[in-house]
Amino acid sequence: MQTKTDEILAHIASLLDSDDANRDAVREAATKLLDVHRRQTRQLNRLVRLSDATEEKLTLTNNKLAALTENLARFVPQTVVDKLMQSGSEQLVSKDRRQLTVFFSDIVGFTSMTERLEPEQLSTLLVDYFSEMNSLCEKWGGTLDQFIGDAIVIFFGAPESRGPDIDAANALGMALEMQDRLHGLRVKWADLGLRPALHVRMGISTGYATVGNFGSTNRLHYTAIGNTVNEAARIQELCTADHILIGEDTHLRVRDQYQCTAHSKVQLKGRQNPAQLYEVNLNQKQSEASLVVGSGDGYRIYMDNDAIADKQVAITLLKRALTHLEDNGDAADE
Amino acid sequence: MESFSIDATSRTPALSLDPATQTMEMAGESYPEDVRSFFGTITERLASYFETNPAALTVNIKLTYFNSSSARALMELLDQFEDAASGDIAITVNWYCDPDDDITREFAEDIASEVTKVTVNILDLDADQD
Repeated sequence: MQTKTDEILAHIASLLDSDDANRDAVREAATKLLDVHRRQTRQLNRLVRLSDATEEKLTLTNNKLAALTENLARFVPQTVVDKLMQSGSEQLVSKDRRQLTVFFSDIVGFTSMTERLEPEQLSTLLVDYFSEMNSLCEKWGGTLDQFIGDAIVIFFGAPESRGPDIDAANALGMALEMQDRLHGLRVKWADLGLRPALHVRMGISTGYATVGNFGSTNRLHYTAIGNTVNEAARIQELCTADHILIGEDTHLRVRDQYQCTAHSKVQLKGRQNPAQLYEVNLNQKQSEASLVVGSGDGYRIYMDNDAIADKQVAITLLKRALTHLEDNGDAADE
Repeated sequence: MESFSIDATSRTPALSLDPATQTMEMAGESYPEDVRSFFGTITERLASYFETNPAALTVNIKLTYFNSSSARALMELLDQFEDAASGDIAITVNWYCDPDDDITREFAEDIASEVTKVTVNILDLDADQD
């Protein structure tokens, strides 16, 4: 498409090329070109103004979006917000069958506590409690499913999973740190005159669940549905205050890392045989820095550097494994 | 000359030019991959229409978003209208803007101040929904 400028320029070029170009014709063409140039300069300025205004609007929109995302994370787990930002709206309706480790906690004697504390005191206590527990959930990579009254439901393994073993270990690590933190919080709350003391029961279960956004078309909630969630709630009910009780499947995944004591056997819904429950020994901490944990097809690694008695034997074993792996790798590459 | 229309796509507005009613309409969003080709088609159709020596043309612009390249093409389109209106064709542009969209409104006002032969009315987009 030839523009008006192109036409005038071509006309001037032809005038200059011709031997009999008269001065008036060149002047007329140059005047037209000047007019077009002025008009285009005005258009350019207009476009720059439009571009600046659009950029300013975009910056404002981005700031609003950032604030909205920050606020959204107060209502929806941060892990879910991050996933939504990456994947867009299709993530809203997808549902997955996943292996999860579900954590369920409940405050002991909460109803009587509500009767004994003033509403303001109760509010202070709960905000403090939920904030501390939520920050530990985020620290260990859990997805805060929901607060049900005084109960907290958290799951590990969705939307992001670090593998079922690590997910289970992280759930346990979080629960232990929660109980430890609560010990300190009780001292703080007592100093503030907030009595009676708050004690919490915790139950953990591992198994398959359907996870995704459930609800109506207008209102969705990212949650996990399945027997594993119910089991975590049931196990929690059987736990004593200030302790952590875990199911058989969770124990299988964490027994190398955490010391547990056999508890009772209990008939859980959907299971043929009574399930063995385990109580997690408190006052044990796993430093992630000392651990190498991972598994996949054909390998399973658990190494706690702090707990190795004979490091030379471990080094020999690992070197042998590495040699095998590299030799096989080279063979595969050839 | 026969009437002409193009359906809207996610990147281009719906377009129509009807010689019978002497109206042209452009509605939707405009950020075409090939701006020259898209607006080139409009320019050619308009040129054919103006060659039929019509008495008038009413242009309804209802763009909810347009990028900088489209803005430049719109300014060239206004130039084409101005040239045609310098003849005996009465050209009216009704530019419908979202009342909350100051950027489009200011741009339309800016363009309107440039033309002298074409009548430009800047209206609220909602006003056309009644």
